Amino acid sequence: MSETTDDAIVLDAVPYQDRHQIVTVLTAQHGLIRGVLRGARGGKHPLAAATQLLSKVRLTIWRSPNAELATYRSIELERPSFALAETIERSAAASAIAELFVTFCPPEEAAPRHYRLANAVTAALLEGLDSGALVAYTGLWILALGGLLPELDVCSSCGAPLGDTFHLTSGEAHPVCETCAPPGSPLVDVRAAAFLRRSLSTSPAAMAAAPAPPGAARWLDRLIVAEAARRLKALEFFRKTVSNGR
Amino acid sequence: MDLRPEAVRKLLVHLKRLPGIGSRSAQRLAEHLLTCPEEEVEALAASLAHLRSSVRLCSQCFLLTAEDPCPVCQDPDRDRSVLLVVEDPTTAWSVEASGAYHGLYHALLGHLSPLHGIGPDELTIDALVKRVASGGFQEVILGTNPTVEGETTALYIARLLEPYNVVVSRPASGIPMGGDLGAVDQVTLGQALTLRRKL
Ligand SMILES: [Zn+2]
Ligand SMILES: [Zn+2]
Repeated sequence: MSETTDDAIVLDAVPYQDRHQIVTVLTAQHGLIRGVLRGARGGKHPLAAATQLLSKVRLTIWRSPNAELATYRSIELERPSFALAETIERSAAASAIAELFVTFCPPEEAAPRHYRLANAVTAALLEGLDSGALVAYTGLWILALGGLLPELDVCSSCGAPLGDTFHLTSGEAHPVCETCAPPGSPLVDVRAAAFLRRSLSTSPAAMAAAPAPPGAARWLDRLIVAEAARRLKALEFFRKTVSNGR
Repeated sequence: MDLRPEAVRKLLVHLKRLPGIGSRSAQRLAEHLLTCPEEEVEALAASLAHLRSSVRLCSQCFLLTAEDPCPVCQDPDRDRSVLLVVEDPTTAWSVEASGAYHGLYHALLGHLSPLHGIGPDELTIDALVKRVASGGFQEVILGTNPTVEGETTALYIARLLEPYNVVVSRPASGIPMGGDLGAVDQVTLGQALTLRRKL
């Protein structure tokens, strides 16, 4: 049995029994954790503000070896997330981003890079930067951290270096050069290719100063859905919300 | 040796599933039911038996009701120019008890929760838009809960109501009456100060 204290980003909170919540968080030391926060339900409690989507908290976590759920002994709100609810796009993006972490983060193992990603993306979202670019950025990095992002600089078929644009294999799984491209294969244009490559070495705040090129977001969505092997409903809701708003 | 007769053990299992009832309370309730006048237990059993079959959702506003349309929707004295949208039908009970509201209601039966696959189609949002579109309302108060998901639901509905000629508002949020300013959590306090009113 062990007690640890860690910063965490809240990814999900659902009612548990009468007055408690099961809260899923992302921490640097232990990755994804699901645990019970007693007394967090019922609005009157200040804890209720701490368990909102993507809020940043400091948790004291108690874990016994065989228990399915951890217990949170204390919770302190470090960065509230209510500003996410100022626009529907931002709040839908928050759900989509949380869904990406819940789907792709390794449970119960150290995940400092996932945590830093979640923290930085949430901060950028709270600042009001472009929500579509932040969803795309998160998707790209989630794939990269999981070793699931295809090589963006060389042709997956012949190994030749790729230029400013590239094509995709059938099924859109991998980038290929013009020579290796199957007939009618989609082209990732200059802006989309640059966004994808630059995101790998640039902060989310810098990448989200402008919207993501549609070609980049579309391809990332395809890769993510293929890897998740299930419907990502929050991502779907985000796409629908953004297209309805225009 | 477990001396509790089977009927008692079964009762305890069911009682413990109720919100707020632990082993202790369940045992106290069982003891009471075994010792109080028999008619009381029969009346309780009868009301439990009819609860689900006699209560349904109003086809217009989705409040819980014995008759459809519900008493609010049928009442000619209600203010039919105002509509209060709530997440849960039971919220309307508390609002009625406040005595501060005389308009009509609309229960969404939840809030948007994309992470859990609850989208607009899982709620009564379509029916709400149709009610507003059919005219007569001047104001729609979006009384969803002050959570990120509740706010999101309110924003989503506000956008759908844009084409109609109605004022869309949100109840004020802030410090509980009789409360202590210093004891309020930081988010609520911040909200209360942002939305302060002039005296
Ligand atoms: Zn090639
Ligand atoms: Zn009704």
